[in-house]
Amino acid sequence: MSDATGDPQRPLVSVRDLKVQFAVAGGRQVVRAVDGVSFDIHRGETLSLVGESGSGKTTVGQALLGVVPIAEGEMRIGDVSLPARTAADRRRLRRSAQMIFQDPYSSLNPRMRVGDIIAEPLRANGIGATRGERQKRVAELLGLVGLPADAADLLPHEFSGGQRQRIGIARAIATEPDFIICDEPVSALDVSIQAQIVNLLGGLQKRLHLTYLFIAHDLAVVRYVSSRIAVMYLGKIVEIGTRDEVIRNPSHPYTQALLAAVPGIDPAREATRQGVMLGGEIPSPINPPSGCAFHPRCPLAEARCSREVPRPHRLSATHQAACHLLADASEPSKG
Amino acid sequence: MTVSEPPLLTVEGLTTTVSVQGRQAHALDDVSFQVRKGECVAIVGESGSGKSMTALAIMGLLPEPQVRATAGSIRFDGTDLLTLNQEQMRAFRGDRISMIFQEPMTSLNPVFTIGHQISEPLIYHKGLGRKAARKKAAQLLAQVQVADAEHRLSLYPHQFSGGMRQRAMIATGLACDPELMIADEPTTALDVTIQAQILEILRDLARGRGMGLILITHSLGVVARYADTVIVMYAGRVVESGPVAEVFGRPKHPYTRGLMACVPTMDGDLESALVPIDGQPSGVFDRPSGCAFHPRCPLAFDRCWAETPPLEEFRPGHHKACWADE
Repeated sequence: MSDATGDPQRPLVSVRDLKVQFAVAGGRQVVRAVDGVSFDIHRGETLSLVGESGSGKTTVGQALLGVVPIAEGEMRIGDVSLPARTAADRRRLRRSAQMIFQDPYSSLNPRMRVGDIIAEPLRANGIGATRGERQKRVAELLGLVGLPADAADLLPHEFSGGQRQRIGIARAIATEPDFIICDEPVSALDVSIQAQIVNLLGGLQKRLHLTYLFIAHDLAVVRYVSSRIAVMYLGKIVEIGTRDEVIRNPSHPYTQALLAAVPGIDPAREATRQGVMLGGEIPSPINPPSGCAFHPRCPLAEARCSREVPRPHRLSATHQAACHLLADASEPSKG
Repeated sequence: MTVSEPPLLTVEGLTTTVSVQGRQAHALDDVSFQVRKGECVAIVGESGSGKSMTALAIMGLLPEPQVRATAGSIRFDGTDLLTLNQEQMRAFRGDRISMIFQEPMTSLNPVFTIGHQISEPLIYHKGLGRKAARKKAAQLLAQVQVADAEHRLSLYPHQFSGGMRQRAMIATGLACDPELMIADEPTTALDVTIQAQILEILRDLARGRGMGLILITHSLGVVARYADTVIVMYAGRVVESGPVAEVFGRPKHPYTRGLMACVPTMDGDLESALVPIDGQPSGVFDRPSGCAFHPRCPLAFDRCWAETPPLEEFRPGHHKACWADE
């Protein structure tokens, strides 16, 4: 895995200037849920998308899966450009890109036996000629996610939340995909179970050479799973970089505020913490603030921030942040 | 927080019995703790640990007859709340003791304005007139940092964002200047920057007014940053309790230690993988014998499935319920 942008290896996933818009109020207004997002995901890495609700992170995942229409932009998974135009492309995509959902209760059909739930993508994709072959594969998949083979005969309600999430993961890896979108895969689970699933996802990634887009709001979890992190605010990526760049050297004021808001578990350190608390709330994407959308909440905002949209500023080969103040630091004459 | 004063709330030996289709089980089993004025006591635990049921028992809101308090006492300012009937309990609830819930959308009434809902306890408990209540409501809303409070009183809950609804809930809970407030996962549905704002408000109110605050949460980080005292619950029992710095600094119960080792943090070592706690928490009707944690416990020995360990003070203020003593 490499983060270098000049990597000769082509990224597995590529998104350029993605825009997703929804009409609201009977078509009189438009929500720019995703407003010009670009990123690459290299084979074998995990890119995390973080941000508050309303930041557009889930919509990016939905756009990649073709669940929401794209207003503008280009996307590619493997060799398939999105949205897939031919039936053959759609078939390839269904096999190579899968999703793990947040809620292991509503994402499994309560009337289907676990074995059938996991075999469904096999059947749909014509994997395994006979029922016997598929059953063998199901047993193998259950083993991979740490469930006993006889789980196949049970119904979802006979499992706990963590076990159900394992079933959802088994279903996602059934078709041997390259790319999996994990949408808040641990946020509905109890704390003692979260670590089990985080470790399972990490183990499977190594074993099966998976590439993840990890959508989450919990920065502590994100810190454990990510190769790189993209921080979203009101439909835009405000900062992107390797995990260490974003966590240790957050450069956008929003990233800094987000990190300061996450409480640690060391009470002594928490007692002495003097973080700048971020006021206000994420504004409505129907009528976003002018200039830098973060300016009404930004402790460092200047007059210019409400007028001009900041462009991504390169901090290193792998680290970018979109803030006027950063541009100042290195290009004082700009503007 | 002064230690010499008698506690505001003393829960002792609280036990609740759940009856479903002829089966009975103790959902809460011998729960004891205290809350002092101005103190923030956090109750942590996973789903099914009994943390929310403890809150409902204090509020007199247990879903009877399926769940009843069958032993113990809840003493608030000299009165055992468990001995009160619903009529008597109403005089406390919303007035001297108030509660805010996780999901403000389901606890605010969608057909009344925010102003109406904040005013309601003031009219019911304090006998204020509509006008005076509305004036106080505007002050309360401003106090929980809702901008343009006066105007927003006329809005309905759906016109508020999630964070603002939770602020409105807190304003409602604060209306009668309660001595004790219970906040059940007040920020779980909110984003992390809003969580910080809300918890800061709650903690400052507790300290500023001398209000006791019970904060129910599953987040160890929230406990570390905002609470004075922590009560760790597992399978309906308190397994460890004490001052936060003491319990998190020197966790004693294997469950507390396990939680601290498995939670992803912003400062933990990334080289070593998270150490999960094996297995799953049990349900009310399939609680393991003895210490309910024993099937998941790395230190369990014979005694742990034969006998239930009592909660004992082993260092000043620091309690644990565990047979292992390495």
